[in-house]
Amino acid sequence: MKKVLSLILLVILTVCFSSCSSNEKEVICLFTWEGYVPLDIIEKFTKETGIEVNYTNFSTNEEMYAKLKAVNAGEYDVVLASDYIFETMARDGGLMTEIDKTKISNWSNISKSYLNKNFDPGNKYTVPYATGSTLIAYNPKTSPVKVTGYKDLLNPKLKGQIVSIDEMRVVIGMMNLMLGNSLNETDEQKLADAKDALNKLMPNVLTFNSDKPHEVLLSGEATVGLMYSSQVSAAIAENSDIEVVYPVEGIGIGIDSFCIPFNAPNKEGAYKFIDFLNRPEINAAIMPQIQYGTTNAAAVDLLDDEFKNNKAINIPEEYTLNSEIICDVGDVNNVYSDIWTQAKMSTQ
Amino acid sequence: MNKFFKTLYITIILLFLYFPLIIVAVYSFNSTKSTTLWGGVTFDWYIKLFSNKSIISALLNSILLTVIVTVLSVILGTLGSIALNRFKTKLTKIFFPLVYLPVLTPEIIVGIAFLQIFSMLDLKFGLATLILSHISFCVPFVMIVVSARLNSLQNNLEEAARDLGASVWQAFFHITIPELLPGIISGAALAFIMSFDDVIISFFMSGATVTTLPVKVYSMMKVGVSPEINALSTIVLLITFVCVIVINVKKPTKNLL
Repeated sequence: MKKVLSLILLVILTVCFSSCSSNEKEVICLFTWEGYVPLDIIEKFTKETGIEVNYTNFSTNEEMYAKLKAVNAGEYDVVLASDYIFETMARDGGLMTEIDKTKISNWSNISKSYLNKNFDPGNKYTVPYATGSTLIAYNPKTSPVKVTGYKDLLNPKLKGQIVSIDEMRVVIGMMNLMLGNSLNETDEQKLADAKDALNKLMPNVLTFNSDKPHEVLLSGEATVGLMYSSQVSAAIAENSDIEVVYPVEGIGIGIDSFCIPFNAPNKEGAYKFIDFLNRPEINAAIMPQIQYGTTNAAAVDLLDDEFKNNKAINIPEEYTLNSEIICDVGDVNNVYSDIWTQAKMSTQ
Repeated sequence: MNKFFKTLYITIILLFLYFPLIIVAVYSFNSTKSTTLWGGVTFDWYIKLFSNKSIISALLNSILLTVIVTVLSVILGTLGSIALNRFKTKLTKIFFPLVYLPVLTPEIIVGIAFLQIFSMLDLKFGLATLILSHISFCVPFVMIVVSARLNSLQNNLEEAARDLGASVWQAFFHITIPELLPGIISGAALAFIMSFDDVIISFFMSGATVTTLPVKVYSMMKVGVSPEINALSTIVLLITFVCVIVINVKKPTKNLL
């Protein structure tokens, strides 16, 4: 028994020490979803710079936020997460390093569509990586109306024919855009208008489904769908009759971005990594693997044709330039919740 | 007719249990990346899996963690059960429920609690914090099973051994432990499973350098779970099945689990 115990203690001690003393090589710790930065790209980076990358993961932005706070914004060198969480983190203060743009030689490659957005004005803390958006997919052969924007979704002819992702802020935000207001509208009167519009939309909605709305569209149960770009892309891949619509009233986008935690142990390495991923040829090699849109204007021409022609993922600049991102609306969130629950209740 | 329905019923139950696992295994040989479209047979995902450093290192971390946690939990849990069984005071009645209360607490709460305590103590998140937190939720499982075994035993044998001249330690190792063995093995199996597939607590406890396999797999949702994971799951399933079969064939009369 004693032998077993001492053996176990020995193992634990060696493991603890070995993990502490492995600092001979330069290392950066990357914190993001698994697979979001392809391994072959990381290997290329290590080969070129000699910096090893420790790749650890979270599955939701909120988890990342809790963890980063607990380690006092240290331990990790590069965090890659979604737009809105950075807004919360910026408000918290002391969690992120201000980005020194002179250390990112490829900064000028980044498309203007994805810079200086409402979640991080002036890109004080974040560097864009990849983007996705909410779009309309529809089948012109079976749909009774031609769809060009959100207003068409309210057409009574579409009764019971729409599938939509089950996201309060996305759906109400879409009504806001339709009325010419902000995606993050906080004005009470304007939200009341959005509520009326939503109530007109509800009879047309067959079902809300966030995970696989494209399958409802593919099965023919619905003829029009409001869904994320990756889902639109999946729908078109299976049925070429389905078309993507960039709503004329404007689209809501999401930008997954990098930040460097305030107490990151290796900030220089972090800058090198971010800069490396923004090299046009590197960026163009990443995006088809993760199936997200590039935020790098210089990479667009280098994308392989199949991916470049994927209209659901690569949205022309004219549509993205003035697009908004869903942000925290503070207490007004309760108003959104009320509108959402009431609209859903009324149709049940 | 009756027999027909019995067979049908059992078939449906077995299908319900095993069909998803079979699908996972079948799609690990699928040549396309899709989980719905079949594109032909391939072994590419297995080759890719073994060249994927990120997944393999997470798997090794998970195995190392689980083995250490299981051994320590079994030792602590068994000793704890014996102590609770032997020294009955007024507090024992309160103490036992306190032991398994953490099992009933939602994992997210336990995870956040550990996160706060360890960051207060300024511990570096990594294997050490993972081990500590996993032991805390594995020990109760061992204790529940071992205590159940202890309660079904009579103390006579150990007393008889002492009577016949065995020392305390001899009686413990030659009588008590072998008697408890079935309970200890089931407890170890439970602890192993709980520790190996824990996601939430593991996420909060893992550090910038150490991550476990379930955390890695769960975070793949963003870009879609790759068939490499199907391949890995198939290997794990195969090992599990072989273990269960070996145990059952070796000891056909004594039911261990």
